[in-house]
Amino acid sequence: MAGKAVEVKLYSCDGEDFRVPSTVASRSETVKNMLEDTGEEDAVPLPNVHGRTLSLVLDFCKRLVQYEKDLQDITEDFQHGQLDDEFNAWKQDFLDIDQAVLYELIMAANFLNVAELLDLCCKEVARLIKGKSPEEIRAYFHIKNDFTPQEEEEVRRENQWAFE
Amino acid sequence: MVIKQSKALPSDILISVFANLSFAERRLTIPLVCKHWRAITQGPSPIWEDCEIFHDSSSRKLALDRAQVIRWLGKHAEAVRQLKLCVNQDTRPGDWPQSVAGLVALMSNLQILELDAKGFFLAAKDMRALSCLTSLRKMQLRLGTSAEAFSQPAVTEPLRHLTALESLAFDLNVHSNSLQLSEDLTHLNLKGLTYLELGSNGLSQLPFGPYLEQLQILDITDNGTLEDVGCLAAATSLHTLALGEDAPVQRSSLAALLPTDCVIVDDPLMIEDD
Repeated sequence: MAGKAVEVKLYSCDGEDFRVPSTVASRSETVKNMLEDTGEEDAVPLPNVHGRTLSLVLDFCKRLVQYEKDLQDITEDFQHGQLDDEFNAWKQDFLDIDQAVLYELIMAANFLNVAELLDLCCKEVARLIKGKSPEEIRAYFHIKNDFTPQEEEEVRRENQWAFE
Repeated sequence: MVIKQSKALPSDILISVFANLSFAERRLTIPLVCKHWRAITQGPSPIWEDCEIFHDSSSRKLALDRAQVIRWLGKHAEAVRQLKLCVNQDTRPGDWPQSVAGLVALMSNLQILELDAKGFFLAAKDMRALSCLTSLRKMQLRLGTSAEAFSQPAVTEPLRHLTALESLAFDLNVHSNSLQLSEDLTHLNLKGLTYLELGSNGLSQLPFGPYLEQLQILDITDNGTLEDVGCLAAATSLHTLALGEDAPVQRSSLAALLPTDCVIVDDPLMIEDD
């Protein structure tokens, strides 16, 4: 952290390479462990992650590192709220992506083990589910209804708490 | 590009997603989507760790039937870490207390319990059912009460068995005659209790007791509780004292009793959620 920023090299599965400060790359627990094993000079191959997705993950990690640095620098309490607001607004823009990209992002956050990003994405999916009926959820997420009519009736009966 | 069934999110991620939904949605909507989603909601799944249940008979949408809630909770009791039960006043609350007390007793892993139901009170035997909750860290009871409840001995006696308790909020909505509560708090010997919130409890003074020593936050809505402020001197770890609005408390006399870095605030504090 102190002073010099060591750069590390990451390779996506489609051969794109990314150079980022190790403080940013280490927000991924997976990358962090690999760096500890192999040293920071070696390029880290990430065979499960596409370049376009990795780029998004690294954008998030950069912003997160920035946010945490800003938090350390503040002198007044009210600035805390201000930084939170800015970060939240940034997250909202960041999540303005289509569903397929969101899916890739979740899988990448999970594989790379970036807890903050995974949490953010899970909240976003929950937000998309909220207020929808089972039929609407299926349509929205392209989920096939794999219940037979009898099974569906059975589940409905089990769940018939209050659809009066 | 669409998410096909073959690209469905794995179970552990779906569990994290569902944890952000309301109890009613987890219970009523999710199992109907597909077999995979239903399977995740079955049995003592981690998605039931946090149950926040609003029972409101006036709401048509996703209202939960009492008998169903109780039957369901019985089946999933072990998974529940956090139970918030909010019962609308207009429903017939009469049957809730015993069932709830019985159920809660099954929840051996329960860490946080919030009951918000002005319409019902817990009698001594219901309270006793709570005394086995030895993992409970936080308890918030906002209940109605009756003279009958308080004429029974030791309504709050079981509190002393909740040895893991760190945070206790108590609003029994009584305005007089709460000698028993005073007595029970006096005997309270909860080593970990750092937060205490007393609503309308009809106490004319804060009960003395060993619990005072490690208390860090004290929230008193009913300033009548501080008619006699003497015992505050025992609260040597206190850093925040919150007072209700209505009462004639002499701040200068309070300040003299409190630790020097303790702040006095007017706003009722909210217990932070974990």
